[in-house]
Amino acid sequence: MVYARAIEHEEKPQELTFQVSGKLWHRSLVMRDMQTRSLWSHILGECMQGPLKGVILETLAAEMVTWGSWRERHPKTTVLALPRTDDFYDSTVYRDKRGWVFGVVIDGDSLAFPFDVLAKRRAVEAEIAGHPVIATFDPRTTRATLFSRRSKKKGSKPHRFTFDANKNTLVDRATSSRWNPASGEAIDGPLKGERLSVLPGIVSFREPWRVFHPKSRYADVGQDK
Amino acid sequence: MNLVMRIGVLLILLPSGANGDGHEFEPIQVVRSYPPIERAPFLPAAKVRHEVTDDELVLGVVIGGEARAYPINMLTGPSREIINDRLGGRAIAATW
Repeated sequence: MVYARAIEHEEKPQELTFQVSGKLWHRSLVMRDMQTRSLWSHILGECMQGPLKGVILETLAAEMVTWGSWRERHPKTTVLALPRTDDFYDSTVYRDKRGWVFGVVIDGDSLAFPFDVLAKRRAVEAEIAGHPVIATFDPRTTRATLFSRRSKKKGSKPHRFTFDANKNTLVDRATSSRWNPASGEAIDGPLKGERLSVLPGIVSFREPWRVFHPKSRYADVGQDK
Repeated sequence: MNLVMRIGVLLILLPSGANGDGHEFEPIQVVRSYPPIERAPFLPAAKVRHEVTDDELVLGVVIGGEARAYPINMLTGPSREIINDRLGGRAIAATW
């Protein structure tokens, strides 16, 4: 996942730089910031020990997706160019979709969208801490994205969507406008041009998610939660 | 207590990374620490040749209108798991 390095602690803004500490907690990476030498849980984004204990990093919306899909949608993108450390991680890694979840925490409420549920339904609506959201998934590129369903029009109810597999678009029930499921933008219909806000979620193995978020709910195949 | 019981009690009392309640912070040092990565090299998409292929996974992020991708196959292993970076005017950490 991607975190913001700027924090505010005791009303003082600070920019942190992180190293791999070489420690594991529940088999998960522990980071150390160079400024205070505090220790952070990578999966929680939370400082667990040291002068910044209790600080939680802002998670920024990011995608775990194939390079082909990313560069097609963002032709001006730059890409990290360090020597390769592995050959293993391509779209086939998600072949056993039951082993992966797209996990979200909002205001202490955790909900995980298992990849096999996402692959089957392509778009799953939910509410997390009272916020109406929708997770969309492309099984070909393994892209999972979370959007807010709040309407940009003041006073309007949240959008309700169905997924049109033939046209690979979301369709909102109120106006039948068509929406791009990767960008969240309405591409056709009365709401053309409106754009859903992207919210942060992380791709995780199922077991670490369960360990770090024992109270998490899980979206299932049959129903929206 | 006989010797076997003493050893048994000692093993139970040794701290482990995970304990019963699951949320006390007890990390275990498994490898050395690694220097923070701060000035990693980047390429524009048009200049990519063999560095990453279309089916390989990347962590992609857009901030302040600037898009950047971090190929997972460059992030595996403790020397690479955190990339300290700056994008679209914000200081970020891309992590695996």
